Amino acid sequence: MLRQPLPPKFAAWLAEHNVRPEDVLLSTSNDISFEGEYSERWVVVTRDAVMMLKETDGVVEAARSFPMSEIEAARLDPRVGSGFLQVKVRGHWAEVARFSNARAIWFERIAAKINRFKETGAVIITEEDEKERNRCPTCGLLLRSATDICPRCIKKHRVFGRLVRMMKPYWPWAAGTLALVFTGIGLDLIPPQLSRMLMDDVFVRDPNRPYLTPEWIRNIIGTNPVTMLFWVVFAGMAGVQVLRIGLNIIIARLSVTVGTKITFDLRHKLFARLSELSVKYYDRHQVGILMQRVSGDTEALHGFITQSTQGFLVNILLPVFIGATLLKMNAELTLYVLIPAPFVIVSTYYFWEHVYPRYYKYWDSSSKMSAMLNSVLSGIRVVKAFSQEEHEIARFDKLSTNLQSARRRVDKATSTFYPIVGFIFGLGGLIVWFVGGRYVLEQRYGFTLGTLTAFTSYLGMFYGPLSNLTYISSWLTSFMTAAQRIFEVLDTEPEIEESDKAYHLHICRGEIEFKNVTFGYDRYNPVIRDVSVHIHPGEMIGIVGRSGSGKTTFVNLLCRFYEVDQGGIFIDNINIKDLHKDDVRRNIGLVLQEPFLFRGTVRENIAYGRPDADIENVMRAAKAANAHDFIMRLPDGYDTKLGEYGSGLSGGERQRVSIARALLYDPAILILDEATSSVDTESEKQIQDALAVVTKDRTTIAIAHRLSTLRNSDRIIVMDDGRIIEIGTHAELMALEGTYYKLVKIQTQLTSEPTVERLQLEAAARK
Amino acid sequence: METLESPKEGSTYKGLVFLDPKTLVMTESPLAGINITIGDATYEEVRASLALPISDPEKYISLRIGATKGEEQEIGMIRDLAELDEGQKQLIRRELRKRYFMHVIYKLISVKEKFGFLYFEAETSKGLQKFAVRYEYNRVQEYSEFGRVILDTDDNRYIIPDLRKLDPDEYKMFTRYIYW
Repeated sequence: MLRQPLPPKFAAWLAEHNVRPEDVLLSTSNDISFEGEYSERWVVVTRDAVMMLKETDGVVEAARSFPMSEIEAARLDPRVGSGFLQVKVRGHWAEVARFSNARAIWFERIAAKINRFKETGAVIITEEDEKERNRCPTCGLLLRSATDICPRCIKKHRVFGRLVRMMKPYWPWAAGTLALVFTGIGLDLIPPQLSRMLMDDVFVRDPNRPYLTPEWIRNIIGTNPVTMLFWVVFAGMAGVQVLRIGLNIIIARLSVTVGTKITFDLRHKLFARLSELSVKYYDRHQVGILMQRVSGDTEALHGFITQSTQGFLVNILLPVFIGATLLKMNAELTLYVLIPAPFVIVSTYYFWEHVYPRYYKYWDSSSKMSAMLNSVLSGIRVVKAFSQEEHEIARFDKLSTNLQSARRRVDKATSTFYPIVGFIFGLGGLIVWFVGGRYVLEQRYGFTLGTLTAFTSYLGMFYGPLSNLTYISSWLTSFMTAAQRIFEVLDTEPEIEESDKAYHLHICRGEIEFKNVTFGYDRYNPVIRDVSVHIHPGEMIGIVGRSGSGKTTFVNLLCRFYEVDQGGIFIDNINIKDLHKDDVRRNIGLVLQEPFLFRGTVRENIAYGRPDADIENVMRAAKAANAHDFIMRLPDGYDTKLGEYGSGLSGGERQRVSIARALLYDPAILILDEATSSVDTESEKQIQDALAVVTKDRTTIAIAHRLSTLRNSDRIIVMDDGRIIEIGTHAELMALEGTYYKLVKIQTQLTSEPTVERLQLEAAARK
Repeated sequence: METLESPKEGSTYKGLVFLDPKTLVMTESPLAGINITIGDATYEEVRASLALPISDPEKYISLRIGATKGEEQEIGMIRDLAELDEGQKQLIRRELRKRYFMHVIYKLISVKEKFGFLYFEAETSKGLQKFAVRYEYNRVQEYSEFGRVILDTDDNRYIIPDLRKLDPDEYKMFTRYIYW
């Protein structure tokens, strides 16, 4: 908490020093001393001071105190496992308090609040500021990420209800599948009854007992009813088996059909929603986690749907139906059957808790050995060149020993566990044979040999599903969590809303104006501060500044990837908030440091923004982007298939394809974000030549670390700490001898490698 | 001051610099870190960090200025803490304690798994601690040959210096979940 109530002793100390409770802007406890020992300390921020209070031998004192008037800024200095809150006083960073990583989140916020207070003279604490990271707001359970679903608080019935509603379009399929599942379970109950009939009516028939078969069947089967009945029962058994197999196939196919249809729908909806969501959403969520939601979680749901019909339902229904049948056959014997049931459940629990985890170690050892083999055999030339064969053999032996011991542990556990479980399962059979056998011998309850064999047959079908039920709860939880994660994305509203009265911008001149724009990815930590600039149509603007100075954020705001917090951005005198989002982006071409090419042909990649462009225009764009010649050298020319991220091309080639893409898009405003910084000098020169064509008569904003690439800009903006600190032409800024001048000087001294200018000079000299 | 490589003419690159402790004057900085004077140059708010914090925590100590990325610079390295006089040693050790905040686990009391987290209770060098660890491969790493370092959900570090020295029940409890 940022305004944590102080313990009485500390509050009293403040009162003694004339600090009233309402003067305290921020107060939070920290947990360790400067020496790294756990002890209670408090950081208190008032309008007048930032202090750290501690208690020594029952006496509270201010271990550190800095007058607010002398503080220039605050920051965190992270170390290994802990960090320091520091304030800048007279140009020096002074330590205020040390905290363990458990408290880091609060001190991050404290530092931001102090900085904000220095700027605005106020401290505002929002609800968001008081939220704990990665904890469920309801039950406090730790979560993997702040956006993760709490498995404890998940409302399973609601998620399940929503899943069922999702099946609505497929209800005939789902209902049909369910009906078949019930039919299947009914069929499963028949064979033991037939075997009973076989025993009692065919093999050991009591002549005094009437036939169970109806008169009309006996009329059909004629004079030797026993033999004929044998054939009929046998045929019935075979028929049930065939029917059951047929049903299994149909159920599996139906559930796969329903499962794949639903997961296809879900994947489509998920991807559509992810495409709509703002860039801010992607800042908060890791791409890997989102990919997991689209692929992994939908796949888990598919598993749930197919398992429901083939696994869960059967596991739940079968013990119920068999239990009822057994009770009907003989209630007393059924109670005996239940004796081993607790052992079945305990042994299943033991397996998952104690035996199964041993496989992890085995799989881990196995994969470590495979990885080692792969790396050593692939790098065998290096091993030999450095004469490390002996060393590698020793390393392999160590891994192999680990694998051997892991395997031994698994096999020892399973070779003990399975026979014991087999015995427990068999125990039910023994009990039935013993008790039921006595019933037969004593002719109690009219219990026949047939009934006894039917009982033992049902037993086999009873314990298996019972053991599976032990873990059904945790399976259900994991499925429900996967479903909830999917629903969470589907329920997220895109943050950038379009106004109902949004204008269309059919023809764009490329005039841009930033008016007092302030923006922060976190609201309390602005990265663009009160920026105002007017860019004329067709002007070439260079932006320079240190990492984190706000250059990329400046262009992100222009593309309307984020909404500004204060002020406004205008294109052709219209606030971009009042323009259709698509119109803003249709008029802006973006060339990034890492050119993002997709799987597809070179032609498709160039025509990405204008899929209807004809090949001649594609080639014209490629020619202008200095890409045509290398494309023509490729065996398949413009039809060359590129892999993911454009693999198959060099960095410079990929960049030129991306420039061709921007050129074909023909935007009024072109943004080049470090477009040449990750390519070699030769490629950079070719890209620079291409850009000279592309940027002509087009409003261009170029961000670059290599200042030489911005020399031809009409104006250069120098940014620092979210503000524009210098603006003017190269010559003007050099004459100013400010930050730009210093940056140019540093780069001129540092650059020992050939530059574009140097190459141009060399080329001129060769001519 | 000695260097491993001679600087090239016109270059500011100095190579790896080892400092001669006899030439160092160290004083405690009132605000943060230590102040170090080497010849004519005085460096304020100097921090210390280890090149081999796991395998050799008494050797190869880097003395650095500037805390943030881009600002940070190494003044030079000290080969061995033993080379320093008592006063210098104390100051450097204090700085190292400020850099590394770790808990050494003496005894594991319990390890339980729930909803993808491992909940530990252990007696440590900083007293009895309860902490949670995401049950993921990269949250428990090898520490030297037989040890493990555990990163809890706040990235606090807990070290078991040698698994072989745990008693059999603790070892079983630990390896039941941490099998790698």
